[in-house]
Amino acid sequence: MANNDYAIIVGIARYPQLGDLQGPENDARNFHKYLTQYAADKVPEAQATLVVSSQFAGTAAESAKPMLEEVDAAFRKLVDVAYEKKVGRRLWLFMAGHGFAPELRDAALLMANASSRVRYHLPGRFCADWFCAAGAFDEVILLMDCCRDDYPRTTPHPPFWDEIKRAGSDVRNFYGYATKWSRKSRETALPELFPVENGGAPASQVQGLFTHLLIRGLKGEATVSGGSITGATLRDYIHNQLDGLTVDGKSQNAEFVGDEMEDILFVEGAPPAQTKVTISGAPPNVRLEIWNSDKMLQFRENGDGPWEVALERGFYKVLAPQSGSSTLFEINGEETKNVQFPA
Amino acid sequence: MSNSQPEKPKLVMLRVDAHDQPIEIFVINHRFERVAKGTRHLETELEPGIYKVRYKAASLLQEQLVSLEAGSAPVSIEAPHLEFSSPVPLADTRTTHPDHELMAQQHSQQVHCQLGQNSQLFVFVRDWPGEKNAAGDVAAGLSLHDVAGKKLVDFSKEGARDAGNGTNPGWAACNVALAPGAYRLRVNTRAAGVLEQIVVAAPGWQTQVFLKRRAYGRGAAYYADLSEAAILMAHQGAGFNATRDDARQAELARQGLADARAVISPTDLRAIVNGKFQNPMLGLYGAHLLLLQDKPDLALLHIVIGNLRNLLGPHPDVQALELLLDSSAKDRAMPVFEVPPMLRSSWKIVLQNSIAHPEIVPAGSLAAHVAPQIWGSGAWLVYRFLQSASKSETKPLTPQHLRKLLAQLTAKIESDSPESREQWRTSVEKIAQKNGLSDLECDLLNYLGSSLPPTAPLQKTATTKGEKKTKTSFATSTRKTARPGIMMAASVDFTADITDEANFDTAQLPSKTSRSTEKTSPRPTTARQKPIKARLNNTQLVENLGVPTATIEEAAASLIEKLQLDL
Repeated sequence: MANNDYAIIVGIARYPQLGDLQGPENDARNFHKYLTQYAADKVPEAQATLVVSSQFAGTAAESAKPMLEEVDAAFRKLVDVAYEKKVGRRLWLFMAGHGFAPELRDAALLMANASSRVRYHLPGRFCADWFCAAGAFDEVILLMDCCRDDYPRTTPHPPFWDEIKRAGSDVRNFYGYATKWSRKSRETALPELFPVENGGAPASQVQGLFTHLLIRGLKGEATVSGGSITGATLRDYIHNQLDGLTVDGKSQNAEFVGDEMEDILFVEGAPPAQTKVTISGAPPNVRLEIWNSDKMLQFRENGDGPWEVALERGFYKVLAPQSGSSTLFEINGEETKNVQFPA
Repeated sequence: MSNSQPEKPKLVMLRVDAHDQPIEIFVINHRFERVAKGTRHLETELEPGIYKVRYKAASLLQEQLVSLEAGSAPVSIEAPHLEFSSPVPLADTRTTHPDHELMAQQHSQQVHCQLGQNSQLFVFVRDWPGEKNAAGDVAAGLSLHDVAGKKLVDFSKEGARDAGNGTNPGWAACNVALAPGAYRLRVNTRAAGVLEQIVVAAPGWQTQVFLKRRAYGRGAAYYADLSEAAILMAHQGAGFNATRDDARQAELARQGLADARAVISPTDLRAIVNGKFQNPMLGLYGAHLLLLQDKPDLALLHIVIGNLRNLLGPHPDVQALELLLDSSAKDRAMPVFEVPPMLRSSWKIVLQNSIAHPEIVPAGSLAAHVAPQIWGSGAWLVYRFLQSASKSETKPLTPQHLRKLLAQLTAKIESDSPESREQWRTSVEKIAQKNGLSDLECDLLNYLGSSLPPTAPLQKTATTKGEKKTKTSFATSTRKTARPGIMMAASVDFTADITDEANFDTAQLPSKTSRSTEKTSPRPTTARQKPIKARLNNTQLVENLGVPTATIEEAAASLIEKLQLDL
């Protein structure tokens, strides 16, 4: 348990004046669940504030919530402490919903009462930077799954918190935006991220592509050899996976901001997620070798039938040295994988 | 002296070739790090190991693994032929259909509507195979208009068509012979309103517009999708050819531009330029893609623009690009953009240049009117057409009057105004509802209020250490105790509808002394806020409002009229 970690998680799905979304509340709830139940450093439930649309059901269109007031209430608890002293080790800020980019390196989450005319919003980077400048935490993580459309006529609407700058504050930060400036973020039906209670097959649920991969990555798929998940491995994992996903033929490219020399360590020494690999089709009674990059990892002498091995994410070659035939394959977080050896 | 450092493995050369396909190539190592990137062709030296080569054409992605053995000779691989998706029925694309290829080819060489001579506009709308296709005419709601807005062609009635069935997706084709010039292509989408974009017919050329239908909102009807339109050009009489390489290249370039991905390298662009254009659209896309490079090759850009000028004659997108080349010439003859260009990236150039030369987007022009209504994303400048956008009903302000108006509004903000931007914004909303303000008019008022702090300050509270610190919120919890305030209360009547909030009374507007607390204790500002007076220059206004000066002047003039302001 990371007793000094805090989180503010906002997911707005209901936008009476802009059009509802289906994914953001799921994303926020999933991220909250991950942080409080599944993370290596779990955030205590009482320190992980969740603000989602369904908490405010029944409000009229023009006063739909959460508005800035409700989100502000979540921030104020930490802002008030930050005026006086350092708050904790790590702050997680997660926001999902409709959004836009007030500036090139920022993203803003639109509030439930926003309309095309009045775009009530919360600029994510401004909030995160405020906590960095205040030295309120050692690490500030900002993750935003929203569009970053360029609305040139929207005047910035930063929170009105007195600026605190603590000299010598040495705060590491990691900011992740679901999409690049002026681009869309997308949602679609994806397999649920957590085990189903009755043990059945995971159902599908509308989720943001970015958040889905973010949680999968943090749960272990962003681990590479060495067993750690860092800002860099998470970034590479999301870039790599997001490239391969499209919604209605449209792709999405995430954007990350952070000092690579001061990388964030999300999970240390975690055993990399393993995939159960079945290699079939190899001729009987020959030696088979599995290579990762330039190292041989495993071999089987004179076996027969399918060969089952467990492998972590990476690129592999299965080789029959006698004949020289081989095949290449990739493991990328799947539970199981079948590899067909060339006849 | 011995060297204990392990010897580094000898690097192996990897060559990847996509031949004539302008596709992006990435190489990823076993740590999933991107180690090399190229367009169409890539050559890199890498440590022995297994790598993933990723090919990207438009939104289509394909990958292959490659093993580089220690000590091996250079490894060469060829990119697969990528069958990407496109509104154009191009051969070897994922979304083509043999009937569509044939029909587009045939009908692009017939004339269905004769409106003029010397140029042609071919419009082909279709559904994609394998998709759940909507009912109704494929070209429903689609029409062509002249710059003044007069309807010239109703594509739901003209041309050839096939409604399609379960296995054969529908299509509609219409080739219009017309005089060279700019036209407005319009689609009435019902749910998203009436959308338009400019299409330019150049002398001796056929402009080919390919559209796919889409639903404008969940459960909404299907209409042609302007923002994803594919536009090609061919010599008049040549018609569409589904197998032409330049059409394929142009379409990939268009999709790259829509995604701001530099899919054509300067080397490729040079090759295209040297090969002369078969398709000027490729030149236009290429020029804009060149500008996405970190260090654009301006000499090459100069050649491309020169070629385009020779091929197309006066064309707003070419004129926009020319602005980039001549920006240093003080006495140059500036083009005038009565109509906006076709491409969104061209419009950005125009907008940027209109700061120093406001006259390039004249008051009363279509370009000035549609500037606040730009819609959606993608490569094209699609705008929402509003009835008021067709004709200026308000006499625009002179720049001097604009400054005067803004200065007066500013003075009111600074003296009689609400305490916070939040309150200002709420007031603007109410004023807008009562007086029917446009989005731009609201934005202009909000912009003027942006020098205010976001929210009213809370009461000061003492900390335990005796130091005072003002804790404030960006929520509106203090709104009811603060005066909502509104500008120019003495001269306008639009304040009446906010008197229900916080005891507002125009007769009790705060005097200068009643704000003495504020005067002695200046309103806190964040580092990002600039004094409002510094925000009234042309650069700030155009950059922040995203429309040319003429449009701002029109909005200000309209505000004066709607709010009955007395200047």
